[in-house]
Amino acid sequence: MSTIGQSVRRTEAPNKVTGRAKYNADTHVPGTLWAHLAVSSEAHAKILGIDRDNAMTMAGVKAIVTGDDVSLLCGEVLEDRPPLAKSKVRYYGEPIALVVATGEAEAILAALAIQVDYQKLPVVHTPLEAMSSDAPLIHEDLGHYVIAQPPISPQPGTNIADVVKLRKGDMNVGWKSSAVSIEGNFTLPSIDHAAMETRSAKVEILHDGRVIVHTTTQAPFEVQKLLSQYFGIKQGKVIVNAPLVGGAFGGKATVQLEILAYLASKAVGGRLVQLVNSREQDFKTSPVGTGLQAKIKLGATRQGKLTAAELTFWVDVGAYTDSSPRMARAITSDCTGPYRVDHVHCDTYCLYTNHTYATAYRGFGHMPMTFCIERAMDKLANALSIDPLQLRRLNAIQPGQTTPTGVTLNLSRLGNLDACIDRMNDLVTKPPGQVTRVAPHRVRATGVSCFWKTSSSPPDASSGAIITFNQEGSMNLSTGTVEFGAGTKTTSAQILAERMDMSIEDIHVHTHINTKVDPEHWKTVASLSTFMVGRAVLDAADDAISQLKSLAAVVLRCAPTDLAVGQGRVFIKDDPTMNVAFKDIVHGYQYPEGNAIGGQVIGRGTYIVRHLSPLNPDDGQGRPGPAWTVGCQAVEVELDTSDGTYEILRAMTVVDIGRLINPKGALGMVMGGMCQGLGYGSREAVRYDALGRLVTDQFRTYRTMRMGEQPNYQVDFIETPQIDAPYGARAVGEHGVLAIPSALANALARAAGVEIDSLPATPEAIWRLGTEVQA
Amino acid sequence: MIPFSFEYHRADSLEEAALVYQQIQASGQKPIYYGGGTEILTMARLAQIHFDAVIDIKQIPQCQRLERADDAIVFGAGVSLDRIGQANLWPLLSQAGARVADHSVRCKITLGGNLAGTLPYREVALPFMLFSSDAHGLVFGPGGSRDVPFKELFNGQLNLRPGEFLVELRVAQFAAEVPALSVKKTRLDWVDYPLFTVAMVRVNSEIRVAFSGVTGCPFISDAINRTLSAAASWDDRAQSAVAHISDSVVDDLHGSAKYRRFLLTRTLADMLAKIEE
Amino acid sequence: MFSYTTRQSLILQVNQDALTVTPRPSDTLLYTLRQELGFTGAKPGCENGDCGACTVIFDNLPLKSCLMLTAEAVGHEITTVEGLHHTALQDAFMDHWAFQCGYCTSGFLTTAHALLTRHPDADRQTMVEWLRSNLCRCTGYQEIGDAVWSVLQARQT
Repeated sequence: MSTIGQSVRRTEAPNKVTGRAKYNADTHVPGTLWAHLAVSSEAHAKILGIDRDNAMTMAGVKAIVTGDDVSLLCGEVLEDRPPLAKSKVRYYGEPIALVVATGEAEAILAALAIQVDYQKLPVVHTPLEAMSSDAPLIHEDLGHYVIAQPPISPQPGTNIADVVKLRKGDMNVGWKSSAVSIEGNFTLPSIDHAAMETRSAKVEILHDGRVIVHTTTQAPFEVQKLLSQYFGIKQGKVIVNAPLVGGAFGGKATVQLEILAYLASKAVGGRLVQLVNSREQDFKTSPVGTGLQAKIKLGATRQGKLTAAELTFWVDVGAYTDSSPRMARAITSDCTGPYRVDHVHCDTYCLYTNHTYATAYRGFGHMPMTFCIERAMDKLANALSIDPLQLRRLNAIQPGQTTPTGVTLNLSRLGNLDACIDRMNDLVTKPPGQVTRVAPHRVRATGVSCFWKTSSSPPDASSGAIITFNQEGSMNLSTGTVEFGAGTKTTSAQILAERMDMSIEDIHVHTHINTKVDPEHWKTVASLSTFMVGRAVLDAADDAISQLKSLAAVVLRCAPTDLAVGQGRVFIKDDPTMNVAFKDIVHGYQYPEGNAIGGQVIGRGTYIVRHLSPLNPDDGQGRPGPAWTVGCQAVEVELDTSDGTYEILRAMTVVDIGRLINPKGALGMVMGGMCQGLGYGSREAVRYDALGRLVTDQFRTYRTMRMGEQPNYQVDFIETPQIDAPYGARAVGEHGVLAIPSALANALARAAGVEIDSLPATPEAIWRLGTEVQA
Repeated sequence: MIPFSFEYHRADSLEEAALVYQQIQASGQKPIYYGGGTEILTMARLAQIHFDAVIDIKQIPQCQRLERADDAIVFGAGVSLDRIGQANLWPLLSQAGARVADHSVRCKITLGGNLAGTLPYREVALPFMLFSSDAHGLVFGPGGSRDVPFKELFNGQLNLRPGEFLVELRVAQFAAEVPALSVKKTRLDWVDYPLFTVAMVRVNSEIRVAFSGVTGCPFISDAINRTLSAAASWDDRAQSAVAHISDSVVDDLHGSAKYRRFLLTRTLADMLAKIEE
Repeated sequence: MFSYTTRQSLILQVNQDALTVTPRPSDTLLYTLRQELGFTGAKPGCENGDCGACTVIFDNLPLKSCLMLTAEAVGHEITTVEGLHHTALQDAFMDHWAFQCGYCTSGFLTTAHALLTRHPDADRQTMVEWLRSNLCRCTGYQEIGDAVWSVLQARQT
């Protein structure tokens, strides 16, 4: 029976329901030293002095490292971040000193005893403030930083870390052919990944020079590469272990604690040191998800056909760039949403502020970007008096049309947005434009939004897979993806089982990644794992099959082309009774008299993305990803118009998934994404006080959804295969989140009769907008 | 983890608790009484408070009373909010306590701990504040036990003498027999700090209301109670009542002062409507 | 009077075994379960009583082990997720895909198991009220609710 399309249990499920699944901080070796960070209490200040004398004399303290001891600037794209603040601090919570002590308590107490003398500097609070010509400068040395991974266009003497320009068509033509135009300004706060497992890293430097790292990461090979590069260690000597990860959402694709734990170990002669974020530090010291401000102008014909889009995004990268320049390009690539617009002008700025620095967050900038464009689409629908879903259907991008960056789409690359919208039209039951009164103060309304996203991954991202066999004939599969809940291990096992036509019970997946033995996978991000790893697994399976057939051909005295594999055997196609079991050949075949031939069968597979190109710096043209995933989402609310309180009744998603490999797995990913999107839409926000100090450093202040607050979910799938993907399956890991905040805001805006152009849409925010409208 | 060290003492009797408190103090160290400990432990982890010893009093038999006795209902200070809700001897107190933190935490938070904590809300005080002439507390300390009218015991926070701890609260049985309501409003989530919590009772034609979360500490106001008991529409009474709150209304991350005032007015009107039905 | 003033040995009843530990008096139950006894199914998610990932069953009640001192647990029965064996609840969590990363799972399982023991007749509202004590960042919560509800319903019919 085929395993594709079956909701097989996730491979690690039994261990996860018994407490036996081990995460990074679950293994504790006696003798491990503990590191703890002293962090900045100011958002922007000169460091006049750090007094560590008292702390050094405290019980158990082995070493204290500060920025003065380290000459290193880090950064995935631009090397602008000292691992420990040097001469100035740029955000509240920034690491200032690293204490290494015999125990956790000793390290925490010593960190509390470190005294820092600051000279406060004026604070930059928002991206638009950062753009102002008289804004305080956050990076005085912007012109001297090393560019680690072009493209990026820093503007020395300003807070502009990067500018991305996209030009398509001719704006004059676009505006001239429009009869109606609308404009909107949007402000979205930073968000926190808030994975249930806080980040942690353990590092030991052995006397033979090997550096052994255990970390909570989505990017073990990136950790290996950067530690090698930053500290001049041969890559082969850096061994990174990535066990199960307790939630990631992009927040563990960045490299931060690993560098600090390395510095800590180095300071104590290479002993094993463990650094674990408290929840408070995970919120304020480790990176957040991007907030942004935007201005969008759309033009359309009287009939509603989009003719022009002018967009500016001011991305709040916080104190350091990390992956934001790549994300700015991702936002720019898909800036129009999944609609045909022939004339597009988009500028995206990455702006330094005195906020916690940002990194990838599920959707890589697409969630805030989608919010802006989809709110703008609803404004246009209102201006045109067209049903919001109809407006989207009218403009839905089609095969044969081009994306903003000039990629010509076909059905395989794009999927079928029309079908998603049509299915949504059935699900919403009432036209989304309609507001229904259900009680004197209570109204119901539905908001809709569409999304699209491609990977925006490097043009040389690659993946590998290795298959070995146990003597009984079962298979071991080793790939480079990390399991943080997305089910990539289960999916790759299903893909292998399908190709080998054998039971998934006989596939044993290597769950804990070790960079020394597992083949590299770029990073477990961008929803690419099923595609890239799946392709590598298929390649490895084909390699193993060809070896199996070669040996079986000798045993069965036939040509390899006469043979097929299935159910753990190699058999003759036209007479399956003539066959040889895997167990008799996978470790070589032995003749009855004792001679042996062949050897171990080891399948080797690789995949590298093809035909991608970076965006042209002048006009943003290029190919950012192998394919898109499109979909349509809707949220139905019931609002109390008198006080702004509301209930989220239903949330709906129709997504073109290409091919369902594991239905329950896919459903869970989409619903989980929707839940996060509802959180971002309704309550989540990283907040700072007037001095730029982050005040949402616990779950008591950074609010996420809880049981009972979720709506009734309805999820439906369209299956338009992506031809070059394993069994046609499209990327879907991030997508459930993308258009939910805008769908929620569209619903609430209609219900309340106000424009909701910033988040979160709390009852108080809706009430305030309502009172402003009345005044 | 909690970085600093301290001693743990679990007292079996009131006398033992007071004695060990005095002994620790006499040795130049700082003891604190410990009930559910939820706030003490979270603050200790962040080194926001310092002490040398905790004296766990929650399992002392007198602190565990939860019963009707004569014409009163007795609530031991060591009883968890979850148990108070399960026993439901005073539905208004059950209601007020049922919205503190979340269910698992309420299995640990005690009546005494909620009153003695540094968080300003202290929701379980509200029902007692409404019956302050008919409610008493028993405290125990170096001088033995002391029966204190609730009004003296609590004026927004617990007033205890050095070395004393709360043993139990008592309220007259009739308090459980009058129409009563407790309403908590939050920014959005069910489990969250309150924008405010309001407890209201109707004793004959008299309306009494106690507030938490509106200003710094829980309060009750004769002027507001008179306003709410006057003959006027629900809306008018609610508006006049809120107009009486001239002190600085809380303006924080959870909600602005303006929204709190607005929502409080609506909530009071709704509660009046319900309680006078 | 029971005084525990400095690091000595204590006996805890965990998962039906009497186990000797030597915590500091200020060590939380969570810390001792993980660091001394290796019951790492109890997860630190916030150590602030907010997320519920460290929930254990304490005399049939769900308690957050970060909000309890080890010494407080002496004389009580503690069950961690490691003490649940082949229960219908664990199967339901697997069948309903009631977790993704799995980090919150132990806490949801212990909370739900305590609910099943204490209120086998629980209605949906009671179930939600108990499960609200725990945070999950991966699922949509519906999967978890469905898993627990399926076991409650099977018990009630």
